[in-house]
Parts: sequence; C-alpha cells; structure tokens
Amino acid sequence: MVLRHLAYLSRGGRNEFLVFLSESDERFKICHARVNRGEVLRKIFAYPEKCTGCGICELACSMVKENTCSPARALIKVQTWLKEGFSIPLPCRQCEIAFCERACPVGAITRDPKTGAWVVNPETCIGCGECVEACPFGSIYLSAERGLAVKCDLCGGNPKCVELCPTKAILYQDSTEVSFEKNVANAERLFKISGGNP
Amino acid sequence: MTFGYAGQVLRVDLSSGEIKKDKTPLNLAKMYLGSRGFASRLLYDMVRPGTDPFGPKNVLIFSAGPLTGLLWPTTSRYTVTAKSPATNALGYANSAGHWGPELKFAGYDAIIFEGKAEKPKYLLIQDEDVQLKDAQHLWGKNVFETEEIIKKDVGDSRVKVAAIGQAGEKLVKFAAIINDQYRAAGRTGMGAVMGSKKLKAIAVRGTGKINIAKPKEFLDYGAQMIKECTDGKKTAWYGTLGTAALISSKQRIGDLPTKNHQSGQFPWADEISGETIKEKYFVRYRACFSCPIHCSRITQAKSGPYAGLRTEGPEYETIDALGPMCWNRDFGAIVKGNILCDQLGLDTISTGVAIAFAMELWEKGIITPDDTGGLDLSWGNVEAEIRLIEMIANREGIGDILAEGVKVAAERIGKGAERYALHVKGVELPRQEPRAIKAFGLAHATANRGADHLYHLPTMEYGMKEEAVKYLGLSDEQLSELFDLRSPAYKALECVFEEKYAAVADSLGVCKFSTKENFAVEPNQLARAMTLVTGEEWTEEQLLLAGQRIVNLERSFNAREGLSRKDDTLPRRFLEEPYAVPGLTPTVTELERMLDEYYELEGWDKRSGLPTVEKLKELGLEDVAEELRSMKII
Repeated sequence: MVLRHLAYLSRGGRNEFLVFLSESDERFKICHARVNRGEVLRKIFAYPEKCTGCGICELACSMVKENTCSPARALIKVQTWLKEGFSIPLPCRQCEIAFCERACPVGAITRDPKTGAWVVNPETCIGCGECVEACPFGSIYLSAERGLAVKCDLCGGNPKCVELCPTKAILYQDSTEVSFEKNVANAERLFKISGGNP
Repeated sequence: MTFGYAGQVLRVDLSSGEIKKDKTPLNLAKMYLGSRGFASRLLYDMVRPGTDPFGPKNVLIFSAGPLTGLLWPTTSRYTVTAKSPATNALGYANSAGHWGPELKFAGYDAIIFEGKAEKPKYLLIQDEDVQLKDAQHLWGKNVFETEEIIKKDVGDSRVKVAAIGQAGEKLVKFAAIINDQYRAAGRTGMGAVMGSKKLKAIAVRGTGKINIAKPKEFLDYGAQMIKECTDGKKTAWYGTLGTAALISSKQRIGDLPTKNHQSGQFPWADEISGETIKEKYFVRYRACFSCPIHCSRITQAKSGPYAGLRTEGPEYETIDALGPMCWNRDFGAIVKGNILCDQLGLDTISTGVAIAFAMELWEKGIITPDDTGGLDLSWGNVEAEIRLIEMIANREGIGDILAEGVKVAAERIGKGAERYALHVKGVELPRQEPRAIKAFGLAHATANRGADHLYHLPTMEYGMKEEAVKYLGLSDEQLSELFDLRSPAYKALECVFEEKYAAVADSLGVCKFSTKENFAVEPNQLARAMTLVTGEEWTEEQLLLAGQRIVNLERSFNAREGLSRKDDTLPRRFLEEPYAVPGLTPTVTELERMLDEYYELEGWDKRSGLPTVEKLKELGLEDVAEELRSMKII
C-alpha cells in the first residue's frame, strides 16, 4: 500500500500539493477533496521554548468547550518541569492516520471537512474508551460529566487556545510553515558556521 | 450552585486531627470579597488579642479569591494569614504560582488550620479526599526535597505543594511558605507560624471546575483583557526585563538602597541590572497561572564560584536585598542566595536586610569576630553573606539572633544597634528608599502588616496622569506636585486610594501587576468581571468600599493588639539622617505631615491613628466598633 501522506511544496509563495493517496480509501476522500480545492490543512504546533507555563490555553479550552474554568477538562494540556522552569504545550496532533478513529468501533470519530480535525460525534459515541487506549499522545479522554469521548476539534478553525496564547507558544499552522521556519533557522546556523563562505 | 467561589472551606484542627468541610460563608464574601479580606475577618473573629503567635490558639488561613483560577489576567494569587510573630499583630503574605488555583479546582476557597500537631504532619488534598499525613520523614528537609518526596509518596507529579523549609521549622521570624518551588508567601513570618503548628506542607491536586454565572460573556471579556495585558503598553515592560528592570530606573533617581540605606545608588548597578541579566544570564520567561505578562524569568549564573546555578528570578526586591544592600555585585551570589532562601524557606527581603544590618554593625564595631564566630562580615564579603543565610535558617551562632528579625536582634545586641535596624512594626523594610520616594515612606510607615511595599503600592506619583486625574481628582498644578517624588504633597491622598485598590486586588485573587500597579485592569473592569462571574451586580464603588472596609478591619485587629499612631513610624535613619546622593538635595522623610493628612483622609482619629466609631459603622463594621469601644480603645 502506498504510504498515505501529503507532501507540501512551497513554490512562489503559494502552497501546492503533491498527493499520494490510495484512491480506494474512503477515509481520505475528504482530504483529497480539500487538496483538490487547494486548501491548506492546518493543525496546532507547539513551541515549548516560548511556553511560560501560564496555562491560559487550558483555561480557554475549558471555557469554550465546557463553559467552566477547569484545566483538568481542557483538551490541550501543558506539562511542566518546575525545577528547570520548563513547560510543553501538548495539543492534539490531528494525526493523518488517526489511531483514535481507527480504534473507534462505532465510527464516532470523523474528519471535519472544513478543518480536517478529527471530531467525536456525541450522538454515536458509546463511551467505551478504546480511543483513549489507542491514542499515543493522551489527547483524547472520556468526559468526567458525560462519560463520552472528548477531543480537540480546532474550534472549527479558530482555536481559542492559540488566539489567547500570550507568547505564541502554540500556533495554528500549515506544517510547511513550521518546517520552513526551521529550514531558515538551520540555514542561518550553517551560514554562521561557514562564516559566510560556504 | 456557587459561582466564582469554589464553595467549600476546609477546617483542620491539627491538635485533634479532625477535618471538617463547611460551606463558604458567602455573606462574608460579599463584605470582604475573598482571599485577604475574607481571611482578615476570620482572623479578627478567631484570634483574641494577646494570643501567642506560636501558640495553638493562633490560626493559619490559606485563602483564594473569587477570581483565583479563572480565565482572566493574573488570577494566580492566594493569601496566607495569621497573627504574625514578627509584629505580634496582623500578618499575611501573598503568593502566586499555581497552588492557589489548584486549591480552588480541588473545591476549596480556603483552609483554616487551628491548634498544633504533636508530630510533623502534612495535609494532602486530592479533590474531595483530604487527609493529614505523617511528615516525620519530611521534617528537616528543604522545600525542594519536600516537594519531590511528597510527589513520589503520592505518586502524582501534578500535585502542587506549598511547604516550609528548615527556617519555618526553626521558627525564624521571617520564614516564608514556598509553593511551586520558586513562589513565596514571604512576609511577616507565616512560615514560622506553620512551623509552630508542625505543619510541613500542603499538597493539593484539584480536577474540579469553577462555575461561571455568565460563561459566554465572561469568556469574551476575559479574552479581551488577556489580550490587553499581552500587548498593551501598560504591562509590556514586565514582560521583557521583569521586575529587575527597576534596578536601572531606581539607580537613576537614587532609590536603589545600598549598604543598609547608607546610600541610594550602587556603583556597580550596571552589573546586576535588568538589561545585563537579560543579555548575559537570561534563559527563558516563566509565568504564574493565567498570566499573560510573564514577569518571571529563569536565569543562570555564568561565572564565578556559582557558575551554572539556575533559578527563577531573582526579582528586584531580592536583587537589592542580597546585592547592593550587602555591597554585593556578584550576580552568581545573588542567584545562590535566592536559591538558598527558596530551599530553606526564607523571605529574601528580610534575609537581605538582616544581613545588611549585621554588616553595618560590624562596620561600626558593635559586633566583632567574637560575636560572629570568626565570620568576617565586611561589606561585600559574599561567602559570609551566603553562610549567614544558612546560619539564620538553622539558627546557628549569630544567625540565631538575626533569625528573630532586626528589631528583636537590635534589642538583644544593644550598644545602639537599633539605629541600624531598618524595620517598621518588626517587619524589615522592603527595597524602596523612603527619603527618595516620599509616598513609599508613608506607605511603609502605615501599612498594617509592617513595612510593606505592596500594601499601598503607590505608583501614581510616577507620572500616571490619567489615573491621578480620574481617581484623585487632581488639577494640572496639583499633578506636578504629586509627580515630584521627593515632595510629600498629595502622597497621603494617593495612598488612601491605592491601599483600597490593592486590598481589592489581593482579596479577589488577582496580581497587582495587572491591576493596582499600572491600572491595565481598572476597578470598574474588575467589577464587571465579578458581575459576570458571580451573577450578582458589582460596581466599582462597591469593590472599593469593600477594599476600604478590609483596610479598616485590619487596622482594628491591630488596634486590639495595642498598636496605634506610635507604631506608624519609620526608622530614625529616614527621619533624621539627610539622604546624600550626588546631584540630589539631601532630604529626610517628612513623615508627621503626611501622617496627619493620611489619617484625616481616612476619617480616622489623628491622635491615635485609629478608625473612629463613626467610620467603622459607616463601613458596616458595627460589631467591630462596639468591641473596640467597649475595650476603650477608640
């Protein structure tokens, strides 16, 4: 089977796509359609070196999703190492091959055609927790109040956590932007090492 | 359902081991908001005059505010309140980090400790499950070790721990309670009260939620205010250099206390300034809970004997206390001192002032190698400074005397030592020069918990025109006098307003760095937040009235303990020794004039400096007025 992934090429300031998808795979038809329309698939990327550990992302999430202030109910999490003063924001990866979706026995997890986020349908979800077991990142869990699976849905394309992060330690980006920035940083490093005489 | 408040108060009797859960008395909350105000009322009701601060009858209260833990700028704060061993009067200290919000997420607005445990204990709170656990294995351990062991014992790295170190166990009068390793409820010896109760730590894990009456509106409003505090110019400077930015600006105006306030400028201020720290020692920014400002920084010493050491901070107050005050220019040593104070559980301000006091006594020949066990306390002896921190915390040698605070230490040492003991009401002076900044002179003298830069936190005199017009109603001509830092004019007017707003911020559970200090969030905006959160109508006037009520109640607590105008004073150095900084006119603090104005504006009796019966009644404190009158205090 062809490895299903999207390779992004940045050309002339505009994103274009090389697509390797198995045409027969139902799951990726939505993605395919998006790509055909020339849309960019974005997700939340974290920059731990900028994270101050304030937890505003967690509060924003619990307010949007649960109408309450409760970091424990947030769908994005921050882990902190106190002594070192270091924190890492942990957003849902919105995996291309999503284990949560694969594990779901009732097909309750589907892709939002608008954002590409994996979304739990509360009408279908039976709260079995197989997705919780399957997710390698701990990004999906069962709601304390309702017992059903809850996960990040990118707030329909305008994630509140990203909007409020004071240091831009989380960004809602196309992966090419992330890699492009790293490309540039790496190039600058190489340039410095070579003293401008590569 | 309760909104904003978590809804429960924990009552822990350490003598019997009994733990009770009460409903949060929301009628008290309406009068005193929460956190500091709430605890002040409880203290007034529970601790009778003359109570021994270290006795079982003293109470120790940890309290969060109605905004603590919410999606709003800087909602990290909680207050620890008890009768203070440093002042024998009202004591409280305020801290941030993540501990206070966690307490609310566990379901509690406050914890009230009564009695005294026979053997060391720690309190473990995991939501509804609350237990007093044995802490004999933690006794003698420092704060960092205590936290690590508790996390291992509990098997949860997410518990938030507030603990005392060796200093609290040994009843050092300025022992702090440290939470999240680097955050201190530092002032007035709350760590010592905790030590006297044999309570080593409180570990909290909360997975609950705080209900909001109007969540949609509050989300929008909170988001808007967070953005304003992220990008707005009123808070921007904290986010680059942190409080260390003050080193350079204070140096310029002669407000960088040096050598136990012999000078207001430090020749090597450049080496420890915010700019230098950012350039040479900065690692990354840190923030307390829900704080977009991130004034805190991780820094690392790069050279000298302490190279490689890392800490959060150091903050302005610490840098000055352990640096210029002791004639120390080595940033690494300040980092080392900061870490030691956090580990041993000491207030960095009082520790630095106590060491500077000892160094001046050494300079004046009042103490000699015989007194110090051979330790050379010459100005700038960094090794001796670091050694003294440990000696204070462990009460070794001369450290045992200094651990009593400079007031009592000076009485014990005698030989005129009291002239160099810089304290008000027994609390060591924070790092402002009362002769350079007259408003802080008045503030330090009148604060109810002893010398205190945060009680009034006067800042309007630094050219805050818009606010001074709005809240003080001053004309342009009057403004120029207010903005003259070295003039006593209008400083009382300023302090009377600012102490109210400071009390509101403390009592709601928000940091002054988004409120009182810079007005990034104004009182009417806090009122709107409270309305959306609690579902009850709050106005700016109601909030500020509650602030005034809290201030009056706290003063009444002190009045009952025998404090009055005679205690609202400053060390003689500031009143008698003209202040000499090159280029600036020598001056002393014109305290009496400012005091008269201050009491008058408060509506207090000028002679006694105490609230009048009428004033207390006007504020709804009839019972307090009755009691003070029946005791013939007012």
